[in-house]
Amino acid sequence: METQKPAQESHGHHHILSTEVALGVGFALLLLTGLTVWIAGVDLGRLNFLVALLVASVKAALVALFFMNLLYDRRENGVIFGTSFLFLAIFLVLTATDLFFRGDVAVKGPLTAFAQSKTAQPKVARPWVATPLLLSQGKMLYSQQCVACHGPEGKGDGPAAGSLTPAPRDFTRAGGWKNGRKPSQVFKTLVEGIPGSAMAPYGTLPAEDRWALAHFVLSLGEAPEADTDEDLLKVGIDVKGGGQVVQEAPSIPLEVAMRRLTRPEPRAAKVGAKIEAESAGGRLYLARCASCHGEAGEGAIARVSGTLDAVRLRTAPLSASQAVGSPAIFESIVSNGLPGLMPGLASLNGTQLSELREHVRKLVAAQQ
Amino acid sequence: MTTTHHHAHHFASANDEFEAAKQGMWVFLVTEVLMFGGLFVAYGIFRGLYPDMFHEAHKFLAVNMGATNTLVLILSSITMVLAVTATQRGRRDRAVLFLVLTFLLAGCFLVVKYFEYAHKFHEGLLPGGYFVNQELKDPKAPLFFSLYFVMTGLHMVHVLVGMGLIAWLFRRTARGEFGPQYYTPVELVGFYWHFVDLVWIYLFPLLYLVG
Amino acid sequence: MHDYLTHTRGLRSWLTTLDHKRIGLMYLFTVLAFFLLGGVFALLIRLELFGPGRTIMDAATYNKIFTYHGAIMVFMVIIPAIPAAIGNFILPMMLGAKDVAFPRLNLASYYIFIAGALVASSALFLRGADTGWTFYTPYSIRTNTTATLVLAGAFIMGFSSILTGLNFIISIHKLRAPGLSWSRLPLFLWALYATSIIQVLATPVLAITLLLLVFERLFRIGIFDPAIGGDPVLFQHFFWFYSHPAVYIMILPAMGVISEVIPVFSRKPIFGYKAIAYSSFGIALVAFIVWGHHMFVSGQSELANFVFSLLTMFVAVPTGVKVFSWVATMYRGRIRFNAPMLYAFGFLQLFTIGGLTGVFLATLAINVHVTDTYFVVAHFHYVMVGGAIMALMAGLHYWFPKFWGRMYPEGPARVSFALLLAGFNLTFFPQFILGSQGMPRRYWDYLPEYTMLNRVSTAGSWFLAAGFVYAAVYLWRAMRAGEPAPANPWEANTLEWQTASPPPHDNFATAPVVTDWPYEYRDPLVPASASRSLP
Repeated sequence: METQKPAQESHGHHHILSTEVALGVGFALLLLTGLTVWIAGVDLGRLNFLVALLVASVKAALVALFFMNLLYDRRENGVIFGTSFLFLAIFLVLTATDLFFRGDVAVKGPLTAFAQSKTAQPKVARPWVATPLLLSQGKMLYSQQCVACHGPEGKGDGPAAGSLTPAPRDFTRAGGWKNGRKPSQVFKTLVEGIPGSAMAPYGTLPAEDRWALAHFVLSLGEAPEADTDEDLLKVGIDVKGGGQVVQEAPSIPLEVAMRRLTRPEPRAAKVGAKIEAESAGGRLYLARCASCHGEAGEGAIARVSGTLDAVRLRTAPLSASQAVGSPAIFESIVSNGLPGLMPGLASLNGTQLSELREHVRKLVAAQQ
Repeated sequence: MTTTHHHAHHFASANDEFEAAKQGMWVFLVTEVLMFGGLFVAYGIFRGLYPDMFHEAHKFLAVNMGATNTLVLILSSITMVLAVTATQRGRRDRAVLFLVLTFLLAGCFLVVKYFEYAHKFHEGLLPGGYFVNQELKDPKAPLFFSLYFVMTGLHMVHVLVGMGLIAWLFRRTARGEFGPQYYTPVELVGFYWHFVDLVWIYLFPLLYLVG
Repeated sequence: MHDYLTHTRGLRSWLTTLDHKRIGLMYLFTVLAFFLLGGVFALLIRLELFGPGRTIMDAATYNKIFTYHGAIMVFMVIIPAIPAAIGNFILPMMLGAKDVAFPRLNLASYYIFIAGALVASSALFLRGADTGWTFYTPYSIRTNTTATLVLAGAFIMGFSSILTGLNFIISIHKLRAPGLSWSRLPLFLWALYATSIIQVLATPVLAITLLLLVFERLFRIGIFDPAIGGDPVLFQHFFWFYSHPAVYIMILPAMGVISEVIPVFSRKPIFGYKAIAYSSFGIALVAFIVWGHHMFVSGQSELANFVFSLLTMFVAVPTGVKVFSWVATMYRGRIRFNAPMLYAFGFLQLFTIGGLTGVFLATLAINVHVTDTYFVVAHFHYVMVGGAIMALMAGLHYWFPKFWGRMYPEGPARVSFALLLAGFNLTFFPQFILGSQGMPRRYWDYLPEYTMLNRVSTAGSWFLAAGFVYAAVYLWRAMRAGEPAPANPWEANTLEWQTASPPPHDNFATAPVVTDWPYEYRDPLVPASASRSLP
């Protein structure tokens, strides 16, 4: 088969790659492959990834420029091909602004670490006491989170308020506050929201922020009643026991949330005989546990205090829990709570705990 | 002797047709970049979120098989280029030879892949919900293998299609349909094949060499 | 003398044609058939919403009906409509070419479209799909319906869109007639060029997204499945990276049609030719960096919310440039109120409302209140139907004489336009109000206080249906027996009007040479420039 010379006149970009260049580039590619395998064995920390990408890009460039002729071809073909990588980069970068910066969800990774530093330790030791610093913090938060419904002066006349029923609270008036007008009660409202209204729970805000908001909002009207120690206990602050804010996590671990969300919703347990709450344990149960777990421990109550959407999670019936059978587990859960899900009652002593457990045992026995 | 190729009537000249076809192939490769690119974005996101898991999981991949396949594909790109230049120079016998070599090297790639996948299935290193390996304990590890199988699997489908195209070229070259006056399909299939190599050039270090 | 319709005869000559004009018509009829199907589903939706509670179907069925309506209208109607139906016919002619760059690929595109549509539609006869056309995970992973078929069908149809875009890009690059420089390119072609670039860059990401979702359903790969450790919001990123640019695939060709119609029927050169041409690229570019505005309440990071809200504001700029240029074109023109121009006016009214409400939605603080309400539904119907479909009607009437060599009747056209304009506003304007009052979308039931506006909206849908049915009737009649049309009934200057109506098989008897830009209407009484080479 004789060799024909290609006709070049009207044929534009018909560059023929010489065999030497082809083999040379091929050899370079093989060499670079060896290099990248070798470097992967050398520990360069974070640099390994970048070096590997760099070597791969050099190889890719060799293939594109020589084997695919871009070096010798019309420039527009190279521009066309290069544009695709630009848009791929846009896809990656903008998606990363979401996936790598979700500071409010407990996903671990080097890039999320610095985003999570915002949800730091509380800076104020006793945020349940109003101070000018907390008030100004509250004012700033109010302008971000609340103004849309509650209005710039707190009169419940914000731009989004028009269509809401019930209407947003007018903070300048003293009457009608669903949970009461003490700071701890406003704090509770911020944690749980008000079911049946547009007032959402704001549990994802750090506790300190919620206290700041509570103080600010109360400052818009007449001075509120002060909190008693019992009031503060109800929101998890043990003034006598050192006054530490119960360190509730502003969020729950993702895995816990996933498991919870993919579980079918618990149904209320059927209850047999009604157990009278006359014992000390019974009275304690009614005061501290019944609002979430039900008077008979039947569960399925859509008011889980804490940080979660009230509608989404319901308490399971007490009979579903392992806690009753084991004193140690019972005490641990009741004292420490379940992070993000159930507040702990750290102030109970051993006697109270066993009385409570006795009552719960009776409730469980009455469930089918 | 090459059979004469008549350019389509809506093009002013054979050269216009060639340039249009070539640019069409580049636009098609743009779509391939974006399609594979989506998988690379998913990879990038999950690797950024779970770097330790990626490091642990990649140890369960056979680096030597991956490296072998990289070398095989690079060699096949070399033979593909040589097939194109042989056609451009009118050397039909060499063109046929290099096309056959390219095809065989691609076949090699598939064989190595077969052994790799078989080993994974045997170890229970399967995607997502089917992951049953006991050694790799990280709860997110199934995601790594999902990405591994989808990315290398989609790439393998492209290798298969490429082999079909090379076989088609082989037939037409043997029949003398290509030569210096007309070699467009050879060049364009060449571009496709180099692109398949390009994807693997990135897949290999990102999956097998997670340092 | 044969034209392209009589060049060869018989069904087979159509089904195996390589003629871009015939392929365009096949697309047109297929798309219109799907429009009918999607429209029936729309009427069913509105019927169910005539009153609270159950009206004609249960909630599970309702979920399927709105899924079908959305999927059909998006994938089988609006995306292909103007580019593949009108574009295929007109683009080569406006270029002065004999065909698109790759005619066989063009026919393949059509058959790929049909294949995908058949696969997707087969789900209708099985367990259907109830995920909404957006297929959000994890529900779309778990649903017991035959969603996989719809996903596979959409995947296949994506390739049709990609190949059409590819064909158009190469055609515009390589097949321009002598003298047709970039600065003389008709604005419809600029629009199709920008559209094709979007199609080629965005649709492959849809392909991989749908493929991954199919793999989720079949092989439990878990990338989007929280139960296996994946991220469901990542699916939304993948999905909207295509689907937001997709809405610009829908609207850019529509804007191109308007850019052609307004100068012709105002007898005035287009105002801001360069601005309109470049703004098409501006829109195409910004299209790719704003998708997160569909995800403001999905749980994505605050940073992403801020970035996407800010970037979305930019898309209003090139859009505004176009609207102002069109209005400036009409100013001091000699306006002829033929049907294409009426539809252009309709477009301006409806698209402006739709576009402005888009700015409301781009504003993060407002969006979080009206997202997933009827406000959003109203917004996108104003731009998609009020924009793209109105422009489709404008284009169909404008190029009707070119396609069939016949004129449509103006009287019935005006009646139909009135029905459509009134019907559209009646159907969708109340939905803005409903949405701002909090009525959620995709809900089978609603609170009693929403009843009155819902009834008005449903009544409006009947006017819309009447308008479309009536248009179909008189257009069909005109196609077969309308008054014969001259080569250039509108006295326009673009190349397709410089050849017979309907055109010959090869488009032009002699190859055209361009010596002027197509919007010269200096003397309103003198028709086309004498420097064209006429057959």
